[in-house]
Formats: sequence, structure tokens, C-alpha cells
Amino acid sequence: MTSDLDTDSRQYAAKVAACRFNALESQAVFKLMLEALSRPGLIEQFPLEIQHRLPCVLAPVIVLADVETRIHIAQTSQFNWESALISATGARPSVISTADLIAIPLEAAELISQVLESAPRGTALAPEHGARVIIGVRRISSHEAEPAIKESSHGLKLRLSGPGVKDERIVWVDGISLQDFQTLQRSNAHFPSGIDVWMTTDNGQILGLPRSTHIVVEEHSSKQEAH
Amino acid sequence: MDRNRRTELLAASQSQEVRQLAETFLSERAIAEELHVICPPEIGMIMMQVREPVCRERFHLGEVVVTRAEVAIAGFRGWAVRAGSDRETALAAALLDACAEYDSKMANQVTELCDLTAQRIAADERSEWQELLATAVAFEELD
Repeated sequence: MTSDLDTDSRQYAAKVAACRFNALESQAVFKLMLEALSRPGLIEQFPLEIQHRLPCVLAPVIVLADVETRIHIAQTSQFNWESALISATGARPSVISTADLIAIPLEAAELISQVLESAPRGTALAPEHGARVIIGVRRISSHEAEPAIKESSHGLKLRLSGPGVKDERIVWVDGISLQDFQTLQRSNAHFPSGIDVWMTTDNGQILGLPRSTHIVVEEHSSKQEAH
Repeated sequence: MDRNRRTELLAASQSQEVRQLAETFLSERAIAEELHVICPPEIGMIMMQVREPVCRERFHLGEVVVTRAEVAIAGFRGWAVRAGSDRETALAAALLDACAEYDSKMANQVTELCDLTAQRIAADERSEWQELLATAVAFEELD
């Protein structure tokens, strides 16, 4: 007979196995992350096998984490992957204020502002100490006519400019609030210190928003500067 | 014995002793049936940090080869990392860590092994210090 604890062990072992990438998978995800960060506003796509295996918001953390990295995964009752991720990568768990890598799944969207407020930003002399934050959102689109986002009351239109963007690039994001972008603006106000952000969706999209990107957010009829 | 100390001592225990105790535990049916390998032994490099004794500042001595493993017994997880590339002993040490969490009788046996290791380390340090003592220099400060 299988006990609950035994079932728990099996489930946990399966979660850890899902978090263990081979070299080719790690390289593929790392390349996507670099591409996304080098060309803010261009949407990249995770390989299908990664999408099917685990929540995409965790993939960048798995690729960057090792025994010398401190990670924080925003937990909810439906989303408890931090322990499995630590077992798979050997990374150390950390509070937000000292974490190198932070993941916020869509289920914990209400924590985004709090995380962006207290995540490390580094200093002018050590900007590399700024946190890398991965945020799970509902949808990302580069097409203004995307009906699902346009009709959503939470959809935001982002006008991006800065390094890696020729003139201007427009992206639609659903699942993050205007207030969250204002917090990101405050965190990235003193370049080169700041926070680099990736946004991911459950259907495998990834969007990079490095600290150097100038973001103008439009919500419904309003327009607000976010960096 | 707290878990940090136990893990530290299991990493320093003699390979044969660790494997022998792990095999004894594994011969119990309940352990063998409920054992799950969460992370099979894997070899990697980690940066070794050392604290120098004058200003007590940490510095990186260099990278060392280690093997780590993680197991679970009926939901009780055990973890180990040991210097070197001995996969079998790393897995055995993780098993001992899990057994110590799972059963108090087994915990006592693991503690005995850890105590033996601690005594051995202390004896080695005393003996090394005795060798070094002859070279100690006493400085006198001038007023």
C-alpha cells in the first residue's frame, strides 16, 4: 500500500526531475533569455518540451541558478516549486531583499509590486548585484489587434524604446498592473543599478525588459511613463 | 545533533563507515521500499571559501570537486555533499541523513557515527597543532 508520505516523495521526485535540464535544454533557454534581453519587445518562444514539463516562469531560474546563487520563488498554496528547484539546482533559498533570482508566477501576481520594491538593485559600481526577476503574466502580444488582450480590462500597452530597440516597439501585456510598472520605474530610476525583468506566459512566450529600456505604459485611455 | 552539524560530519566521515551503515539500514524492508532518489549523485565543482585568521575575511581558495545527492524516505528528505567523486558514498550519506529524520533509533546510530568522526577530526587537529607548535613565534611589542 502506498502511504501519503510515499506519494508525496514520488510527486516531489517528479517535480525535481522536471526541474533538471540537460545541457542542450539549458543552452536553448539561456539563448532565448539573451535574445529577449538584447531585443526588448521581441517575443521569443520556449521549446515545447520545456512548456509541457513545468511552468515557464521557472525555466530562466533553473538555467541561471547554481550552488552560489540565492533564489526566491513567490509561493502560493497552488504553486510550491521552490523546494524542488533548490533540490534540482543546489541554489540557496533567500528572502527577496538578498535574492539574485526571483520568480513570481501568475498565481502570485499581487506580490509583484512588493517584490520589485524590495529586490536588490545593485549599485553604480556593482550593477551586476541587481536582481533578475521573472514574472508570469497571462498574455503577451506584439499585435495591437489581439482581441483577447484588447478586450481584457487588465491589458496594458507598452511603448518600448532604448538600447536594442530601433525607434519604438509596442507590446501588449495582460496580467500585470500599472502600479507594478510604476514600482519597476522607481527601482530602475538610477541606471546602471536596477532590476532586469523577463515576462513569461504559460504558453511559452518570453519577453525581456532590461533595466535600460524606456517604457511608456498606456492603460485604456491613459498614458503613463514607466521609466 | 542539528542537521547542519550532521551533514558536515557525514561529509567528513570515512567512506567505508558511511557505506556500511547505509547498507545496514537498507537491509530493512521498510527503508528499501520507501526510498526515493530525488537527485541521483552528481559530480560538480564548487568554489571553496576560506576565512583567513587575521582580519577574519573570507576569500575564494579555489574550486573543488564534490558529489551531491538527495533522497527521500516516506517523505523525509536527506541530502549530502562530499568532496571527491565517490557517487556511492554521497548517496549513502544522503540516505543516512534521511534515515536520521525518519526514525529516532536510526538517528542515534547516525549520531554515533558523527560523534566518532568529530572525535577523529579533533584528534587530527590536535596532532597537527602539536607539529606546528614547535614553529610558533612569540612577538614582543616595543613600548
